[in-house]
Formats: sequence, C-alpha cells, structure tokens
Amino acid sequence: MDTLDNILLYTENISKNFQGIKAVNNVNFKIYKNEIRALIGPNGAGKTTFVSLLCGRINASAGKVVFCGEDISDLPVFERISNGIGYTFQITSIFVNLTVYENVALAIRKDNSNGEENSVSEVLSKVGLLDRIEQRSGDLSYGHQRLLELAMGMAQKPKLLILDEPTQGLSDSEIENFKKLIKDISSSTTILLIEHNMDVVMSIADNISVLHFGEIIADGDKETIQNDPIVQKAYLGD
Amino acid sequence: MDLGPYLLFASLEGLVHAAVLSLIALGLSLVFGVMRIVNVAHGEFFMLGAILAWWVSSFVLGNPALGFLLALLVAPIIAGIIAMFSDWLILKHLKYDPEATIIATIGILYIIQQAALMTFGPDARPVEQPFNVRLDLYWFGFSAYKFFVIFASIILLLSVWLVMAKTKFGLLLRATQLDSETAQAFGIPISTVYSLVFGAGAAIAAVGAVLIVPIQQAHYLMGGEPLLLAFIVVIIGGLGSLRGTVAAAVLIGMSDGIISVFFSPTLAKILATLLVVFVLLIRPNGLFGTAKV
Amino acid sequence: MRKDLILHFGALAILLFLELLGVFSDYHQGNFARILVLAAYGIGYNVLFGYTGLLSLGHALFFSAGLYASGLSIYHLDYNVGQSLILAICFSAFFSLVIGYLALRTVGVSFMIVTLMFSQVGYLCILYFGGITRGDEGIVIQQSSRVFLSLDLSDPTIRYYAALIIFSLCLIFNLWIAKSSFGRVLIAIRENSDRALMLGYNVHLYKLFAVIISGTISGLAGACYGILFGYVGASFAAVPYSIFPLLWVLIGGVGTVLGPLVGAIFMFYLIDYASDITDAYMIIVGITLLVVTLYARRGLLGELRYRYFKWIP
Repeated sequence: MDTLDNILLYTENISKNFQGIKAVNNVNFKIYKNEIRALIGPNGAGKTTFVSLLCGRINASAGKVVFCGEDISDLPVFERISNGIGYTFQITSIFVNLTVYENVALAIRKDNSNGEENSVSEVLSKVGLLDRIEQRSGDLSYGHQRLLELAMGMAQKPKLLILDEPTQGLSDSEIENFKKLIKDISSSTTILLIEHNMDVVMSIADNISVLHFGEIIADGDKETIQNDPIVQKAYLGD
Repeated sequence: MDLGPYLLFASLEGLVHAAVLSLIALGLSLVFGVMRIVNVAHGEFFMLGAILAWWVSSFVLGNPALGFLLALLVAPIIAGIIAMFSDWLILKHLKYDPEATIIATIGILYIIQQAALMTFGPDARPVEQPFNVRLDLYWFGFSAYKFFVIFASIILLLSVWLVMAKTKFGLLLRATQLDSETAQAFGIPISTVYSLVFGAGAAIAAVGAVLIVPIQQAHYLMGGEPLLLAFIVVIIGGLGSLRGTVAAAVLIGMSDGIISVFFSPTLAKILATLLVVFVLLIRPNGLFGTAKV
Repeated sequence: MRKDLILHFGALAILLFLELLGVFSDYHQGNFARILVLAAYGIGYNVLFGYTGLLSLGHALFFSAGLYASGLSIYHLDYNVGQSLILAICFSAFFSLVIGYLALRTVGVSFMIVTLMFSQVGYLCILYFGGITRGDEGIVIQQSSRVFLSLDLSDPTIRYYAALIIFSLCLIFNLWIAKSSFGRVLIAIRENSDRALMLGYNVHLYKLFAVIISGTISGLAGACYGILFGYVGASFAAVPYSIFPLLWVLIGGVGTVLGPLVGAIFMFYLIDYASDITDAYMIIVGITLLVVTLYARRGLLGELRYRYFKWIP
C-alpha cells in the first residue's frame, strides 16, 4: 500500500520552534489520496501550527514537506495554494464587505473551462447559498458564513483541502449538513480535517492522526485509535 | 585648521545633534512602543517647545539663565498638556486605529503649525544662551552651552530609562506595551496611561527643543526636519525599541552633524536615507527590531 | 445601459458641456483645469490607498517625478511635449517600481513612515541639485515649448480640454481596474490581505503592481500639470502635495472612481477661499483631516454607496 503513488502529501521530521518552545516536533506524517483524515488532539497540541506548516502560513524550523512528489518546503504560501492545497480558516475569514459572489469568485482565481458565473453558482448551490449570492457576506448569519468559508475552499478545487475546525460553534442540524457536505467533497478531494467534535470525526473520517505536545502519538483507522492506550492516556490524563 | 581638529569639531557638533535627536526620537518611539501609533505631529510638539521657550523667556528680564530655566520647566509642560488634550479630544475616539490615527495626527500637525504661525508670526525667534562661556579646546573654542546640551540630554535619557525600568509607572507602561487588553483586565487605567504617554512623548521632544533653541532659533516650520530625522532613526533602530532608537539616533545624529559641517545639511539627510534603504534591504524590521510591526 | 457607466460618462459629459456652453468665467475655467489634472493625481493615489488599502504619505514623490522628468527634459534637452510625456511616464513607472520594492519591504505603519521619508528626501534632492532644478525658485516652461499637435496648450480653452482629456483617460482606466478581476484582487487585499494570500494570490506582487500603476498615473498627472500651467517647482514635491490627494480621496470617497474629483473640487475652493482670509490657510487642511477621520470615514461617495447605491465602483 505504501507506495509513493498513493501518497498525496508527506512530511519528514518537520519541526517548529517558537522562542525555544517546540510547537511541532519532528513530525513524520503521510496523507493518502482520496481519504478523509482527521487530525485530533487536545487544545494546544499544535494542530493549527502543524497544518500551517503544510500550507506555508508558517515557515518550518526544520524538516520538509512533499506534495504530489514535489518538495514544497521552500515555496511561499501562495504557490503552495495554487499548486493545490486549500485551507479554510478556524476563525471565519471571509471578505465581509464583499458579496457572496465576489468571495467565491476570488477563491476560484481563474477558471477558463466553465466561465466564472457558472462555477460560482455551482459551488454555491452545493452548499445551499445560491439564493444569497448578491448579499454582503458580512450580513450572513454565522452558520452561513461557515458555509461560505467551506464554499471558498471547494471553489479552489484543491487536491488537498485542509479544514480547520469547520463545525465549531454550529448547531446540531448544521453539523449534520456539514458532515454530508464534507463527505460529498471527499469524492473529488483529499481532506485533512482538524476537529474537536468526536462524533463528526467518528462518522466521516477514514483515518485518524493524534497530535499531542507537537508529536504524532498515534496513526490509524478509527478502531485502532479508539483502543490505543497511549491516546487514551493523552486524552484522559494520568 | 588641520583635518584632525576639524574632525573633532565636527564630531562635537555631531554629538549635540545626536543628543537632541535622541530625545526627539525617544519620544516618538515611546509613544509607538506603548500605544502602537505613529505621531506625525511629533515634530510640531518640538516646534512648540522651541517657540514657547522664546515666548516664556521673553518675559524674564535680567539673567538669561532664569528665563531659560523657566522655559525648561514650562514649555514641555504646556506641550505635554496640548498633546494630552489632543489625545483626549481626538485619538481616543479613533480607538487608536493605526491608519486613522496617523491621518488624524497629520491634521493635528497642520493645526498646531498654522496656529503657531497665527499666534507668533512667521519670523525666526532667537533665544539667548543661558550662559555664554567658550571653552578653549586648544585648536578652537567651543561653546560650553553645547556641552551642557549633551549632558542634559544624557541625564534625561537616563531618567526615562530609570522610570521605565525601576518605577511602578514604568511597570504599568511595560505591561500595557506587552498586552493592553490583559493590562486593562488587571485594572490598569489604559486611557489614562495612553494620555500620559502621549503627553510625555511630546514633552520629551519639547525639552529637546528648549535645549537646542539657544543655538538654532525658533520658527513655526522647524518641526519638519526633526520629524524626518526621527523617522529615519526609528526605521533604522526598529520601531518601538527604545535601545535601538537611542543607538540609531546617536549614529544618525553624529553623521548628520559631521556631514553638515563638512558638506551640507541637505546632503546629510539624503545620505541618511540611503542608509535606511540599505537597512530595509538587509533587515526590514530595523537593526534592533525583532517583532513585526 | 449600465448605471455605473451612465454615472461616470455623465459626469464627464457635464464637465464637457460646462465648457461648451461657456458657463465658466475665466477664473473658474482656470481653476477647473487645475482641478481636473489634480483629480487625475487623486485617482492615481486612490488606486493604492482606496483600492489596495495601502496608505502612502509620500505621493508627492511620484507627482514631482513626472513633473520634473517632463519639465527638465523640455527645459534642458529641448524635448517637445510628446517626447517629454513619454519620458515622464517611463520614468515614473520605473521610479515607482524601485520605491515600491523598497517601501513594500515594510508593512503597516512602517510603510507609511517610509513613504513619507522617501518623499521628503526627494524634496531635499530637488533643492540639493539646484543647479539642474533651480531649487525653490523652479523652472518656467516657455509658452513656445507648450505646444502639442500644433495646439497652444497655454490657451485657457485648449488647456481646459487637454485637462479634461487627461482626467477622462485616468477615470476610464480606474473604472476598468475597479471592474476587472485584477481590481477585485486589490480590493480583496485591502479587505483581508491574509485571506487573499491564503487563496493563492501573490499579494506582494499585486501590491507592487498597485504602487506602479498608482505612481505612474500620479507622475503622468504631474507631467501634465507642469506642461499645462508652465511651472515646475520644488513646492510640488513638499509634504502638502502628499497630503492633498489623501484628503481629496477621504472627502470624496475612499475607493470610489469619482471620489478624487469631488474631493479636489471641494478642497480647491475651500483653500482658495481660506487663503484670501489668512496666511495660515493650511489650518483648513488640518481641520478637514480631523473632521473627516472623526465623523466621515467613508467620504461622500463612499457613504452614498454604503447607504443607497451599492453599485458605485
């Protein structure tokens, strides 16, 4: 199974120090094509820092990132993203003064095949915001803003979509909707999902990685992780 | 005069420049460090200090030292109060948004400058030196007053450092600088601290002006040049870093003074800016700066 | 037809008919010719400040770069108007590239300080090289040199039309930018540059382009100002000429195409009026800056857009 062909992205001994504190420490991580991978771990485990290293928001102190067989460690963030890594923000980060249409159009960047308007409509109808296309995005409800954030991730058509706590602060019914959407997106895109809500993780993730104090302490499918004594210790404390 | 003594003379002139520039830049940097705002009107508080010094000392007849001492006391206080008033009237309401604040301080710049023109007129005003002693340095005579300027500036720099490092008020300032929200949560009266800092920044610049005005004369347009130099200094030294500010001020002030003596003051500023270009190319956050601004 | 096109071409048509119908007295005709060229400068400024969100405090540097490139080439090298304009455009573009590259190495307030500093030094350079620039006194461009396509540009009526053409070109260019996907990215950078970066845009390069476009328009306006009004002087490189475009844009509407024109008309006449009353007329600039920042952050057209007409570009 472990051939280079079906690995979408991997890291080699990637580390990040903040003034001597090891936020991410020698992580070796692989994500396979077309899986939904959940990245879990207690607060402060370094999850957001770790994915920021993948997409280049933060420069690594050491180690390398390989994406689609190419070493992208030295690429600036915008090139990594145009190479096919999408990132949606944990704290909603949309262009509040622009319309829903403009937000998604910006995410598409360039689309010659389909025409911008068609592509925007297509994405918005998937997330159910088509009827709000001309609305100022800052006027949307919080739940709709989260959906727009997801729509912007989808519109980029990335090979790898990193979702940083997409369901945070949503109601149960909204979460159900999100789970369906993420499943839907995963048919065409590999997904790396940072998530606190274990119900979401257990129902949609194929595999789980556990980050604890900046290190990956476990990797595997759901049953393995659930029964892993180290994970239980990390979560329950000792 | 030979080159050696001439260089010594230029260096002494440079030291005087550096001393006063340190004060001006320190005021700017202090305000930025604590409040995260840039005060473009800073040069006008310097100008106010100089003009007020002339105004105050013109009331005191007799020994010029008396007028000077009174000016040294009164001018910075008035400049500081005007600064605190503009903070209370304007900047507070902008919630210290960096961009709005910078635009508003440009407004304050013109209001102070033009008000000075209306009140005191367009003429340059001399202030008599408090004591007129020339020290004979073998090759040339040098005004003892200029040594006093250097000395007084060092004393003031040290006292600012003492206040910052050793007093409770300094602790409040440093806490506010690190994290204003947390500081507020711990009961530090942020808006009072901000007002005081803004006033203190202006007052420090005004002290510099009172010190220099017996050498330079007071004029309503004199605020532009020190503002330019202070900006050069804080960019080279790193915005908000007090140590960097003083180090860069000495560097820029010295070279400004020396180049002014040998060539021209204008060329000195052009060269100083080339140095800034160089710093931007190798260390965009300033030679001593660490944090991103 | 689209509402935005009607608005902007309507405004240009009004400016044309005011002249055709002879509404202007000589005095106001001259003023409006100046205002139109200055408003073109304001448009250049607005590309950077209003659309990209970068506050420059040193645009007089670009305005005077164009002004001096054309003025000096006419004065010293006997260039004709067309040649000097081409030189001014090329020089302004190159100059903005260099200054933009350096200034963009800083962000936030440092950017504002650095632009102000560069501009001040530009002013000092003009004074320092007084042998070429004639410093404070400046250069008068002779009437005989101010001829383009055998039209005498010093004639008030021809001058007005020339100013209107320059302004119209800049306005149409600005309108096109505002509507293009390039302009949309600039707006995205203004609104949330971190997000724009995370959508895969080379934010730094876009900003640099914005500086170049902004600086080149400003330089073109400067060159036209010198040629149309026959004077090239250091005062155009001084701080007030960096503050004026900021003020026009703030008053007229940040990030609106017509805002700079509205602001320039208002400030021109306000200063004209104030300077009759007092020597300290620049106090008006100070007061207006405060009033606008405290009470009218969006400016006139910005406020109209926010409240009623969302389509105003």
